[in-house]
Amino acid sequence: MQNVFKLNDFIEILKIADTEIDKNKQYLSNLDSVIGDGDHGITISTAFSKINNEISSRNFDSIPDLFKFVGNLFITSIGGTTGPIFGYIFIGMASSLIENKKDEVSLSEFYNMLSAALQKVTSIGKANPGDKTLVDTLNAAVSSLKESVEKNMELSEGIKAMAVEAQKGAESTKDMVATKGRARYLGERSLGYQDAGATSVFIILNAFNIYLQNSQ
Amino acid sequence: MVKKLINNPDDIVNELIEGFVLINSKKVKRIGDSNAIARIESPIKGKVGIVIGGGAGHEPLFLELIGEGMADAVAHGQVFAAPSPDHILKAINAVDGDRGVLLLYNNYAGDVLNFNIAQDMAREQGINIETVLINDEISSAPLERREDRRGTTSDHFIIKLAGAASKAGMDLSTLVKFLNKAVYNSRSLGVSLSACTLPQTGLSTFTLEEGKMEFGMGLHGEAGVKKVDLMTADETARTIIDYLVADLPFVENDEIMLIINGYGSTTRMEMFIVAKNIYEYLSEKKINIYSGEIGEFCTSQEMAGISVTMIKLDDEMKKYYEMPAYSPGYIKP
Repeated sequence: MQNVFKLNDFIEILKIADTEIDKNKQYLSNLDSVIGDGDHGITISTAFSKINNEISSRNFDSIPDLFKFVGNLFITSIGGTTGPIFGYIFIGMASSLIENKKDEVSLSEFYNMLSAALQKVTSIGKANPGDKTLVDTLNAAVSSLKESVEKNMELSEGIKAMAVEAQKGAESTKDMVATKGRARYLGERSLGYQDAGATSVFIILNAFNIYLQNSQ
Repeated sequence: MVKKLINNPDDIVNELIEGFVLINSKKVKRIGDSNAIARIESPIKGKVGIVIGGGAGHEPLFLELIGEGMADAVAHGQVFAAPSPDHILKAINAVDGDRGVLLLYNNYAGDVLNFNIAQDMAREQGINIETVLINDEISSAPLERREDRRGTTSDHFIIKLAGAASKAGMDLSTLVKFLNKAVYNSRSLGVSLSACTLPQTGLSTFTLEEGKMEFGMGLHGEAGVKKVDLMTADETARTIIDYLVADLPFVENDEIMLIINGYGSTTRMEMFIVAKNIYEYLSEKKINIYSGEIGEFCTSQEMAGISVTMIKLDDEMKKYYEMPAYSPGYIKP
């Protein structure tokens, strides 16, 4: 049973994320068309295929190296709100590892990575938990990881719990009134609809879980 | 599902740019295969380079507003989505002469994120660069949060002032102050009669019931402020003008620029009828129209509806407005 993520695991996980996002492309666009402008599924799936194409033709010497590359690619070449926001998630994840050239990551280090991503995104996007954004998914995932680390859980158990909580976090946006992004113009009328960005972050986090479950 | 003449939906923006560059091949150039397009003579010595940009799908905005006396380069995103910083940086580099570069764009979260990243990248290259944000749409935030408002249909006018003033040699910091004054005095509000569809999906971005119209609807289907039964042109004109006049506020003897913009599928016939009603109503209010324009300056696919822009003018703004401008999407002889 593996208890750390290695560089190659993350590369495989990004491939799974690409496949899962692609499967849910229409669903994500539908969510976005109710309270946004209906293009999130296309934007995020285009971004992930571009990223996987670029990754496949490159070598990385460390985990932060990979995450920095993915983050920068999102930030500089995707556009929309999705490009910078998702980019800073990956940059944030890399930033907690930058000190040493890491080539493996434990559950507690992964918690640090996602926690740094959450901080980065809240500061860039100025959104807090409860604002009906992807921060709600990330926040739920980080809280779950914190608990799992405290309980000394196995990597796959901790990641599985994280995926469950991330899904709940994404679903919790249904009961929120948007105050950020285009949905904020709907005010109370945004109630009852799940946020598309929050959903795609769940799908991406769930890719970590799918990978570990498959490799058991 | 709205019928559209497109090929692969993923190629929309690329093919839009290719078509535009082919039609205007003597006047514009595409920077490599990027979504940055610049005037063919760029970079021009002796003037601040004006870079505009934003999502596609609003033609003639932004693509068709590059030309003499208008913008120098444009960075385009996907339909209704901000351009990425690498495209914006290519546009900046293409127009960076010897007087610096101005980024001029609409205040949307995605645009601000991407343009700010590009501006930082340009500053790291040592480029003298500043930003002016357009935020004229009054229903998107209350007056006390004016900085949160969206930019809409004063765009071509502000871009025109930027083009004229930079051509006349105005330096970057003076230009920023001048354009911020123009933005500060600009107010727009629209009304939508039917939805726009996103060409990639063919789906409507919102639904507007039969017999209804909505004030303050955004250019991307953002929800408006007031949904009512369909009004006459006169009632519509008076409602919009009341909102606009109260917001600045515009007062008796103010001299204004009036822009009546069609969102895509509203006819010019309707726009002229609304124009007549607006002229009459502003005359009752003793607000003087210095110059009026009607047309499609900023569209939202096949959305039906109009927007009205009022800009309070002073002598400096009038001077630069009167200078000629030649771009594929806007000409001032």
